[in-house]
Amino acid sequence: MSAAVEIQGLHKSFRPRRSLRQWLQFWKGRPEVEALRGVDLVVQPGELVALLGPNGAGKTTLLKVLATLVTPSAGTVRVGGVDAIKDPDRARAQLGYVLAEERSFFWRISVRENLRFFAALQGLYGAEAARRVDEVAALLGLGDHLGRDFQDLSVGQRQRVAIARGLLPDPPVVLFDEATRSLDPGRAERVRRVIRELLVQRGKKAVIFATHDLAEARALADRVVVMAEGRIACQGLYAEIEPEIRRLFSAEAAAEDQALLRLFPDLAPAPGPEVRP
Amino acid sequence: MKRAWALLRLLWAFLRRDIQIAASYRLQFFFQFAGVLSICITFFFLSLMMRRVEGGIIQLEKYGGKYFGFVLVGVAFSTYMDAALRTFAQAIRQAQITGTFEAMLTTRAKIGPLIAGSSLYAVLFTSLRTVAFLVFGALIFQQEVHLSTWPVALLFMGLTLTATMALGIFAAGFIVLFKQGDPVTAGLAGLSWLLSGIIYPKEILPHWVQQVAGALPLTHTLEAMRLVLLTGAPLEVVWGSVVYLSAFSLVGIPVALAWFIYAVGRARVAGSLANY
Ligand SMILES: Nc1ncnc2c1ncn2[C@@H]1O[C@H](COP(=O)(O)OP(=O)(O)O)[C@@H](O)[C@H]1O
Ligand SMILES: [Mg+2]
Repeated sequence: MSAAVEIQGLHKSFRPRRSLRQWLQFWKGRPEVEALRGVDLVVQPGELVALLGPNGAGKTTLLKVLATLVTPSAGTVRVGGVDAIKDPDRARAQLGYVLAEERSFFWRISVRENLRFFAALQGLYGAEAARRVDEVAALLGLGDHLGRDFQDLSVGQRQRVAIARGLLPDPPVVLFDEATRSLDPGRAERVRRVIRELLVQRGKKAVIFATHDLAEARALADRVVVMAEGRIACQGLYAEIEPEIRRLFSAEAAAEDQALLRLFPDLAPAPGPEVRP
Repeated sequence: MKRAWALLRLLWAFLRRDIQIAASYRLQFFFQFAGVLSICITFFFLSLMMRRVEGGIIQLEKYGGKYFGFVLVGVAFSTYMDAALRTFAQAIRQAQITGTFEAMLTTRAKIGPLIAGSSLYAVLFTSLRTVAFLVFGALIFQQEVHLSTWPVALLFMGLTLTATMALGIFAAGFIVLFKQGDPVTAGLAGLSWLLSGIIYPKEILPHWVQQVAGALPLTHTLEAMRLVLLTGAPLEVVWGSVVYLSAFSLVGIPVALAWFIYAVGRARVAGSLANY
């Protein structure tokens, strides 16, 4: 059986839009942002990976490359054995993606109609779609909200609708981007349980869950893959690589603290990254 | 067969979504039709003034000789293209800003059905609006509308719809690449307003300008619709326009789709699918 996700030598550099000044000084060349600098990652079916890294590490870019929303500069990407660069349509059919953007719905129609619309895009219609919508809504505790307009939901409720949308097609690979960011602790834990027990243990799906939260990475998964500055810095069991993780998270923070302390010398230095029990 | 059925269901999902969204803006819905009525009234008064001179305007004779009918059809179909393109462009732009465009692109739906489905409501709703022009004109202002050759009118409605869709998808490509300011919607509206003979007969224009105007799909729609609805012209008379609009749609839709797919590909490289 082929791996669920197989990434090799993945690079992505963005050329941000130039300012008017940069545009006029065209001879100076165009600045590039290297978001991914050589990432290798293999995820097997039934495996849950927490993709941990500080802001700007390249987590979202990596997930977007897998979801075929971003074309990489170099490297190979296979999803369910399908080459995601050559055959993005078939690769996407293997995949559910929970966007970090929980606003990405049609605000003036109900949650149910939103989910039914996205179900249709996934090839689910009529009674089959209705059943699937009820199922994913139940999984995320949205049953009572199906009839409400999307615009009337709270941010956390919207985020759960976004998670439900990613699960609609029942795909073998599911990607989550900061999916519990706006949830209260109890609901966040319940979402993690759905992922761990239903999707991964029973469903044998491959799940990649991007987060910047150390505690979340620890609570969620056995295998933690840590990204920093576009590379995979280390991976393994959370407990085994914890010192390395702390070092990575505090390196960047230290530089920013220095700048802050220069402005306000009387502030006490910040403690290291926190992991709640 | 099974694939055609799936495509229809997918297109219906888009239509259902957009009808529900439109229904949630009830007041705007009402004002759309109120707007149609007020345009009719404006041109009705203009045509009262024109009554003194319309007999002397030889360019009008071909279209039945009456200014009100002439301008009614002109405005009904010129705002068709304009309104359809605008509604569609706005929908794409909004999808980009809220991130629904990106969300749709992560599903297994193909890009062609996605963009066609996105445009469907715009073209169908504005068709309804155009029919409202003709109904108001006929019922309130006693404009005689020839329905003896209604299948020909229907054919032109359909061809105008497909031609507009081609232009709309082309415009959407610009929106994906440059976000604001697509040259298709603005440029085409301006050119058509000048050249297609919306409120004056295009036959007034210099000959070479008329030939340029012949490249605009709206020119053909207006000419044919006027001949059909105002004089009951049969298919043979407007055959040239059938050929032109069919060719425009047959070539235009694949070209526009290719351009749109290219634009999305560029946006994937730039990572700008969800940029403002
Ligand atoms: N479309 C883009 N254009 C330019 N730079 C980008 C784009 N998307 C991401 N980046 C940059 O790439 C880096 C990684 O971003 P991202 O993948 O969003 O990080 P994370 O999700 O880990 O916080 C950041 O420096 C970000 O500014
Ligand atoms: Mg991110």
